[in-house]
Order: sequence, then C-alpha cells, then structure tokens
Amino acid sequence: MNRNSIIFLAAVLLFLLLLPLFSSSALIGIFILIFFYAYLGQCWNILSGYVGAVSVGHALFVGIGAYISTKLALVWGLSPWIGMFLGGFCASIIALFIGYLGFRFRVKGVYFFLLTIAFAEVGRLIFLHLDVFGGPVGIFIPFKPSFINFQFKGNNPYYYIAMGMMIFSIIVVRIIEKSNIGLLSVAIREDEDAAQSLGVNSFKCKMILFFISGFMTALGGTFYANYFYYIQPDIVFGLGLSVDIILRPIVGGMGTVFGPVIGSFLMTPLAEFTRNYFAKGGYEGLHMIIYGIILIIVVLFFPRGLAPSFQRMYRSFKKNISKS
Amino acid sequence: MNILSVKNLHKSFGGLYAVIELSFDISEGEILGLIGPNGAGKTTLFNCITGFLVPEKGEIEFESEDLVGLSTFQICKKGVARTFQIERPFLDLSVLDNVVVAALNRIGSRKKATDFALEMIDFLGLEGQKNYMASELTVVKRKRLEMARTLATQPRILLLDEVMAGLNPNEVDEAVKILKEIHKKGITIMLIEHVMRAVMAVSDRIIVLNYGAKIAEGLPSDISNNQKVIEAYLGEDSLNAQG
Repeated sequence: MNRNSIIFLAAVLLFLLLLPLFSSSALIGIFILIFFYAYLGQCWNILSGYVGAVSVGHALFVGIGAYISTKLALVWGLSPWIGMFLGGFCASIIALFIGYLGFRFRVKGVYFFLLTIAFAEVGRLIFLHLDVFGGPVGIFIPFKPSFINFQFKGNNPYYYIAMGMMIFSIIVVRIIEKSNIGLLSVAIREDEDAAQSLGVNSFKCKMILFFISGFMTALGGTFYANYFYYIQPDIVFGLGLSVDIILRPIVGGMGTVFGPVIGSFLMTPLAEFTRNYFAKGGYEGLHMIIYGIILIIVVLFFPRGLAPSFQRMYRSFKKNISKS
Repeated sequence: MNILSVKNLHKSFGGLYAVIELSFDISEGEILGLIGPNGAGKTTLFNCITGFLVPEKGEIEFESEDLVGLSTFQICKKGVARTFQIERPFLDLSVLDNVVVAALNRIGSRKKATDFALEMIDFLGLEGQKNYMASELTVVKRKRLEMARTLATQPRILLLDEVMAGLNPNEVDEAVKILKEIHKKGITIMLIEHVMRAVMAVSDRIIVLNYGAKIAEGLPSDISNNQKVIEAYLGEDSLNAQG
C-alpha cells in the first residue's frame, strides 16, 4: 500500500470514528447497517470471492450464530460475547460438513449454489419447527442493557461494535490475501485443474476458507440478534438475507479487500433511503425495482465489480500524469 | 533404473477404447517421445498418469510407488508434473504469481518460493514480462509460462503435452534448446509432440500410439522408417502408391 492510500484510509477512519458526535441517530442506524452488511459481505468474500465457490446460503450461518448465542443467553445467562464464539464454532462445523460434501464430490457452479441454498432452507425449516427455539414466532430478546448482555441504550455502541467488526473483517481478508493460502485460492478460482496439477491441495484450501467464513458469519448473527432484539427463522435463515449478503460484494468487487465495503457503502444507504422514501409516498416495493435497475447497470458496465474498475481507472490516471 | 513404468494400462470412454493394454518404461534421465495421430490416446495417457482420469485396469508405478488412485496434487508432490495441450495460465494472476503458486509445491516460505520462481522465469526468458498479467501474454509466452510453472514444482519427471504446437521453426529450435537444458538438470522428460523436427532432435526413444495401442517403439531413426507408423499416419494406400 502506498502513502496516499494510507492517508486516505486514516482520514476515512477518523471521520467514521467522530461521526456519531455530530449526526442523528437515524443516520447512525444506516451506518450500522452499512458496516454490518460490509462485514457479512466480507465473510462471504473469504470463501466465494477468493476461492470461487459461490455460496447462496450464507444466511444459514447468520441464523446459527443468532440462535445459539441468544438461546444460551436466555437459558443460562451466558454472555453473548462468549456465546457468539460457540455459535461461530457450530457454524464452522456445519460449514465443514457442507464443504466436505461440496468439495469432496466436486460440486461446482450452480450445483454448489443449490447445495448451499438447500442447507440454508433445511436450517430455516428446522428452526421453524423447533418449539424450543420459538418456532415460527421467533425469539424476542428482553431488553436488559449492559455490556455483558451485548445490549445498549442508543445506537452509538452498536455503531462502534459494527465498525470494529467491519475493520476486523478487512484485516482478516487482507491477511488471507497476502498469505500463501490466498494466492493458492485465487489459482484455484482461476483454474482448479491446473492448480491441482501444480500440487495445490484445493480441497484443503477450500475447507480452511469455508471454516473461517462460516465462523465469522455466525459472529455477525449474534450482532444481528442483539441489535434488533428479535430473531425469526424466515428472516435470519431466509434466502432474502443470503441474497442481501452477496449483492454488496458482487457490486463492489468479489475477491478484493475493499469490494464488499465499497459495495455496502453504495447499496445499503440506497436500499434504506429508497425504502423509507417510497414507503412514505405509498409506493412500497418501488425501491426493489430501483435496487434491481442499479444492480443491472453495475453488472453490465462493471462486470467485475466497482473496486477493480476504480483501480484500473486510478492506474491509467497515474500513468497519464507521469507521461505529461 | 526405471523412474516410471506403465503396465497393461486400460482406459475406455463408454465402450470406446482410448488406451488399450499399454505397457512401457522410462528410465531415469531419458527423453521419451510419444507420437501418434489425433485421437491415439496420448493425452488420455497423460491424464491417467497425472490422476485426472482413473484407468480401469493396469498399474502406473513411479519410483516403485503406485500412482493409480492418488489425486492430482499428490502425484505432483511425488514429482510428476505436466503441461496442458491448451495452456491454462491463471489469467487473473501476474506471471510471477503464476510461477510462485507452483513453487509453493515444495517450498513453504513465500520469499524463497518467490526467489525460486524468479529463477525459473529467468530460465525461460520471461523476466521482461514477470509483472504482466498472464492474460496479457502471447501464446508463445504462455507456453513458456506453462513450462516455467511445471519446472517450479521441482519435478523428477516432466510430461509435456504439445509444448511446441503453433511455434515457428526458430521458436521450435529455441524450445528444443530449453528442453535439452531441462534434461541437463537431471529431469526425465516425456513429450507428446506433433512437430517431428523437434521429436526427432531431442528424443532418446520414441513410442508410437494408434487407436490406444502401442504400434512401435524404438530409436528415432528406426521409427521414421517403420512401415506401421507410416501406415498409421498416412493410411495404407500411401504404401501402395509408393510401390
């Protein structure tokens, strides 16, 4: 990374740190969602962006994280700060199981989509029918604000937690990208057979990344539960959430460190503003159309996402400057 | 000593025999040419040796270890590396990173792997393009990259699948020179090639396949005069025409 981009990132970080001091709670709420979806997008990016195994069922891990940490908190009073890691652990075991089925038997492309969707749907249906977990009613989390309970008055603490999670995910992805496994996984994404013929153990690579991805996604689930105080299988295991998770990295740029973040900063406010705006005018649902149109535009003109396109523009801009 | 021996290898695709009862040995340090008309089963043989295909019958022994049933990456770790007939670079990686991926096969440290990859890049004359994306290379350079990658895995035997196809005569001569240098490093080479000028120049021995079976085996000079080989390539009528 060069000096300019470090200065730029530091400035953005400082701005984000100070933002709650001078902005409304509603705006902070939107930023929390931006960070939250950037985090989830980043978790998904670890698996699907780098190694190319596109999961369309990542909500499964959000749901597992949300339900396990919440249930442990309600039954045994276990702090969600600890419960989230137990949830993460369960999620990563399930990720390994799905990964084993998918990668061992070389399930690829649309078939891998279907496999991951199927598991997410199975998860949704199981929790929908388990009365211990509230069944279709879901679980309302009683409001007892304290740090131990992962509950706070006002939005600001959530803002900083979500931001911390996003930064953590960026660092993890950056480390992975620079490590051997990151390089090998890009090779697998580009041409798995060729990579294998050069001695790359693609099964192991994918399993490691799926493990990390599942674990981290579940941590996001705990955040979701304790931010919204309500979880329900159709929401936290739903296909809708799975799609929400993957849209942002696709728009921003899969397999890049900042793609999911850029995508979230663009798509999340758009979704929120248009939803509020059109709902007030009595046009509920119109925001989905606008959302869809933007998605089509991005896919048409930036097929690899915004981040790589920006990079290319920046590079040619620099070249032109040094020429003149 | 035989580094690789294939015994009674059999592979068919839905009733169509691609390789039939094929047996041969390669001794250490040898250059073995593998020729035959299109569809003779040459690439299928490579795919069986490197674990892309599982043969129905037969044994493939590499340094007295059975390779059948091992996965592709394990076979590479043992020391068998191959190139692909149609080059398959990792398009989204730089030339250097392409080779580093391969170097990591034997070298754990990224820095040492990079140093070794740079050596291989120099060896194949790609140093000017090392920071290019693989997608920006010409076909000739892509073939070089393919070779650099397989060498970076530090193989004991190299299986080359038509690395000279599409090269002009000068480039073929250069490629032959590179092959000889690789051979000097002590790497056994088995090459599929249609460019006869090259096969005849480098091979110690040649095996000819037709319809999956071995029809001839011997020194390059013997092969070029072998009746069966001429038949396989040119058809029976050509012999009659010759009188």
